[in-house]
Amino acid sequence: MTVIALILSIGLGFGLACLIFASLLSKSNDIGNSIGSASSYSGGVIFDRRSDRMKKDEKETFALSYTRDENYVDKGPAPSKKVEIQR
Amino acid sequence: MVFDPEKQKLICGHCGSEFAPEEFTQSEKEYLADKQAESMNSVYGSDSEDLMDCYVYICHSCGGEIIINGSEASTRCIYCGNSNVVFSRIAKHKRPQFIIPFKITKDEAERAVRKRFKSGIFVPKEIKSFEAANVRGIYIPYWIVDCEHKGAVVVQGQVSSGKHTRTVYYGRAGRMSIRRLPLDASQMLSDESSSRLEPFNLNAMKPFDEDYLLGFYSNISDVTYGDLRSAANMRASEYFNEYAIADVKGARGKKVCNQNHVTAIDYSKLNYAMFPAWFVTYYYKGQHNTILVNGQTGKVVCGVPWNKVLFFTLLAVAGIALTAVTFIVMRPVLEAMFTSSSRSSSSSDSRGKILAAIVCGAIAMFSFGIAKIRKVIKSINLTQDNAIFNFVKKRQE
Repeated sequence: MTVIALILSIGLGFGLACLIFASLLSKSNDIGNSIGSASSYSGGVIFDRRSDRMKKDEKETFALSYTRDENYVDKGPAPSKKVEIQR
Repeated sequence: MVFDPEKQKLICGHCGSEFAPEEFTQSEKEYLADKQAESMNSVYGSDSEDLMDCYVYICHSCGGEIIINGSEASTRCIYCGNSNVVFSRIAKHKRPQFIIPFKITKDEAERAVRKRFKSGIFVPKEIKSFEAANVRGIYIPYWIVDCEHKGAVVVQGQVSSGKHTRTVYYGRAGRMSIRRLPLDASQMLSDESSSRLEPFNLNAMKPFDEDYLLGFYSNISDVTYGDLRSAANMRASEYFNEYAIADVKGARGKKVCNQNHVTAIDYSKLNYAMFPAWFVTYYYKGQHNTILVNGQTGKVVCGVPWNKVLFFTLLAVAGIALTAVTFIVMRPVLEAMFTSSSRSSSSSDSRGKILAAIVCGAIAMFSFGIAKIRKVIKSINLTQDNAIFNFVKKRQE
């Protein structure tokens, strides 16, 4: 029993220590690790299709079916802008 | 003549006179717009591949030859130290519409870095008292983009019902408008690094004037439409996924497992701007490191080399201490569970479940901990990337 308790304690103890020290290392040495938040540039998503508890085959097709829309084809910039961006 | 971020004016290096950038005469700029930077290979009649991205520009003040790369728009003369704006590169079609002038001075940028380093537990002492090899103010080109994003994602989450936990899939599809999203337009600078400089206050943008570049380095846009589209799509998709995950309620451990995104840029509202950043380079153990400081807000961005000996020593001590505490608590609990007099099948069943939960918890905790440390180290290394150093290095002193 002592051996089992010891093995499990090592897992929990060192795991928790790793989590704590990863946070400390991030705070100390990974400076400025943030980008502009979604709310800075967008008012949010208007969800017009929601499906909860999907079946397995449904999850394969859901993402593909929605974005098949001709209105969302990027037609490229006006010719004047084109000159501006390319070297 | 250089632009002073503190006074927000141009200062003459000889007589100390001060001018607002808009007061400065246009006639000289028009004359200088005709002065082209010429390819080094054509100037020297060579055909070297190493010189493919090298151009010669003649200093406005002393006539010395300045070497610049293909996308630099302003630099300093190596001979007389004067600021030079390559007007031909920002005139006509490539002229930016807006600029955020430097607000943070060189000293303030260095002070902000030192202050941030002082509070770091794992920042080595040598770095806390670093000597900057160079500090360069560089205007980074950005495209400010409006776009319509359409996305559909499948979010996977864990749901508990009674004693069982199962994986459930949620579909979310919708559209989102994105306004004034800044995207870095320099190929030499990685998007990961430049996006960390955000947020910029876009309301403080001013109409572009070349005079703001005096005293600083700058680059012009060198990205293609493909780069711009994929950068916009990547950022918009990240934001969409955040919203979709937040929209799924009642599940934990949520992550996107299937996704499809389409982003359409509104090119009629595309704006070209220059944003300020300080690049502070220092050497530690013979390796170069670069720190970025937002030239408008003073936000410091960098991954700092860490004191590995201190980190792993403290980690081991904390690990042993937490293990000891857990052991002291767990041992009597386990002993009580498995030596109790009850031998009924239902109680042995519940004991097995508790033991399984403890085993799973220990494995999960250990793997999460290791994964988190690896993630942090990867993120730290990202801003020590050679690309950033090369972006800063290839400039005249």
